[in-house]
Amino acid sequence: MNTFRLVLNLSLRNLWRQRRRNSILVVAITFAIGGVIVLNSMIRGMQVQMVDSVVENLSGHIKMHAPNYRDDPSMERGFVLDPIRVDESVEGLPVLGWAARITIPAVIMSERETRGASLIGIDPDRELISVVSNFKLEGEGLESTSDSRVLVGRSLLEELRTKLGRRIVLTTLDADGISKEIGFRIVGVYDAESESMEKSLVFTGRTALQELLNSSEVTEVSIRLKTRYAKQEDFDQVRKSFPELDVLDWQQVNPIVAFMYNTVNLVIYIWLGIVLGALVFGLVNTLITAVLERIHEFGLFRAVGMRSRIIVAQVICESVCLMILGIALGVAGSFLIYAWLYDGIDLSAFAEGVEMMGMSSQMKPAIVAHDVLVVVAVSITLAVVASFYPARRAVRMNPLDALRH
Amino acid sequence: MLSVKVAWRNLWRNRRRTLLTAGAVGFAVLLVQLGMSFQAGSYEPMVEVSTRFASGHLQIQHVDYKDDPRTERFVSNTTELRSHLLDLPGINAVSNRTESFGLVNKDERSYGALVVGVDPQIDPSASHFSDQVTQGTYFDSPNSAIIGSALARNLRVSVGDEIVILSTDVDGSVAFIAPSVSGIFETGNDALDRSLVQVPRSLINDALMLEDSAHRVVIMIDQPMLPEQSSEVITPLVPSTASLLDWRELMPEISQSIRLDKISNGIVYGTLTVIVVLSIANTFVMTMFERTREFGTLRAVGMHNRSIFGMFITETILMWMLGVAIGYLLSTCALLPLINIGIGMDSMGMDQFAGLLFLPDRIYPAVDLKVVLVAPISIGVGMVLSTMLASIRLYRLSLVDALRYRE
Repeated sequence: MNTFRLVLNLSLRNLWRQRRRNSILVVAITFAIGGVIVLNSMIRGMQVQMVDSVVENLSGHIKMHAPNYRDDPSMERGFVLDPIRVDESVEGLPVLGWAARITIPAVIMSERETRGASLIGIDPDRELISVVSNFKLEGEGLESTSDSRVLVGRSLLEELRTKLGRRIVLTTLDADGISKEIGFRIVGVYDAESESMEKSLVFTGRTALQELLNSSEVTEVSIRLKTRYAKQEDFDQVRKSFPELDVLDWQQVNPIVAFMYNTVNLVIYIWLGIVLGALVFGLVNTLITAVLERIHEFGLFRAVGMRSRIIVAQVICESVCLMILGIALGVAGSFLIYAWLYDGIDLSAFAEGVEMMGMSSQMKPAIVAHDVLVVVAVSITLAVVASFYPARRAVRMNPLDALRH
Repeated sequence: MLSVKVAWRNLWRNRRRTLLTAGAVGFAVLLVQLGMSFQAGSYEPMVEVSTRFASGHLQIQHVDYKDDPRTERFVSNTTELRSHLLDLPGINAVSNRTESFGLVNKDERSYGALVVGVDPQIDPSASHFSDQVTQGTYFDSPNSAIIGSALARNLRVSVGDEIVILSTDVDGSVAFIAPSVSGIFETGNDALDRSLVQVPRSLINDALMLEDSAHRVVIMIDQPMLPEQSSEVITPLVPSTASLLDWRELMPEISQSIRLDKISNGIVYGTLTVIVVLSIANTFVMTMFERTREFGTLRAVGMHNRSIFGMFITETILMWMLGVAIGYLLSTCALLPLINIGIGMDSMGMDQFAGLLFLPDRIYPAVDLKVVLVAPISIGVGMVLSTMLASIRLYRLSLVDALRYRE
């Protein structure tokens, strides 16, 4: 214990002896650590946002379809909903809720224009799990699952050149694969964050839609959990209960977003490696100088009986102390920046570009404790490794030669 | 010349430090160059692939068509317009396209789709669709159609079948055509494969009473990354009711993601440069302290502060050149093979999205003046500033103090 205090004491005094040069190095470390944490927090923020918006936008954490539905989304690829079985399949899971829907392509005709869109039959009471419950509405929402009126997105309404309260005609295939034209009254107009959603999704009551299409089936069940990420076990449990259906997690439903999500984990480590790699040059340079100019001093220490182990420990300790100081400042600085950016960075100038990547136009940073710990652990390891070579030089020289130096 | 010689020798007085500092410069130059060359190499192919599946490089269309596409918003006399456009320099293809949203029927089944009328002889010069036909052939008669693979499956259509497409003509009356399917295309982009039908322009123009009009006059140019140059040449030919748009306006998601990529990478390069420059500044300050007595001696024998500072700057520049040389050497070694072979999208697991995100099969790093100069110049400026900062001491210390200085 005494030895440790001696080493620490000597190291700190040595650092203070050369405060000017050391403070520049601390600034470099601060910059590096702060830069890594801030950038990582943005990347993580983006990642979290991607998952949240995907999960919220109707896909949920787990989604079930009849086989072949994804290739041929139509009423013929439906399945009979058994609510009790669904409830049983999610028993014990942290479920926020689940919703059964019908999603089929349809052609929409107003008095003047024709457009293609997806017609979605929902049970409004169950859509608390999706973005549908957060829509800003003009007019009314759907009252119940047997409401046979429609909700149309603002952008689609404008393209169709029609108005709230007017009728539109939707052409779609019924349960037997036969084309059917159905008239709907527009009960509400919704504004969503994503313009492509406004253009492509039209909502009506599920039971009402089943009646219109002579069907008693649904095309999907979407399950939303209370946690941000679904665990593999949760997913397996549901899959086992429905062997006859395609049970997909959000990553399978949204492969692009999933790919980006997974790439991000790699990017974070590459970035950390690059920054610390750049830092190593400055660190080694400073430490070698600090050792070489004190060769005489080290010779003296050893001449009076200090063991070489302690000298090595002293050099390593100096390096680690410098690093810890830099880390403390860097972490503090990055938290300040985080607080400053907390409300999000406005990316609305890139709205379409970020939407393509599944992000929202407000980018909020998110600091993940695990990332900060990795940065701290790796940089302290680096400080030890980088000081080892200079420290060994310090004790390799014969004490007599060192004293004459 | 003497000062260069002295500076060079000074550098090698502390060989390890010089090499480490130059190494830091080389490391930063290498990383920034690798990153920038891949960026530079990926944007143009990405634009090229996406424009050939969608907008083309430039388009002439009715002024209101982009915001609110309607059948009656067309550009007329397009054959004549096309031949005038082709006479202009820098233009390598022009293709007229008619568009209409239609209901595609086969027996009892029907789906909505975007029906695009193209000139079968001309359009392949401006788009990739003719290469993507996986079954049947690209248009075999004036009354044929090619249709996306997912749409074909959903409609239960195979090559040779007749489909009926219902749409509305310029007056708002119902119009229909009944082409036979000559080919089925598969682009890998779900939206295209699910909801696009192409027919000969003559067929759909007759049905919609559009004569020689088109909704999009698609222009392909030699320099897609610099559409402004061609825009200037084309503008005089644009009819008064029409406007000229480039791919950045037609596909904002592509140009925005390129800009976003440039900004975020700029932040990364900037941080890297600052860290390296700070490390170097630290080294310079150390050097200054070590050499205090040397300055004293030099000044005692009559050298001016200015000349000593000049010597330092020369040392810095030599060290910078050494570092940049190391960086160039390493990045040349890394880039030479890559420029020829490229990196396949499959090696990054990206091939599954190639169609979806309009990515090329391989990207090849591209080296331009910016790639070569940005990193060395910004680090060089940082190094010169650091030298100035470290040299303040030179001017503050008196001759006697400098000579008496002990480390």
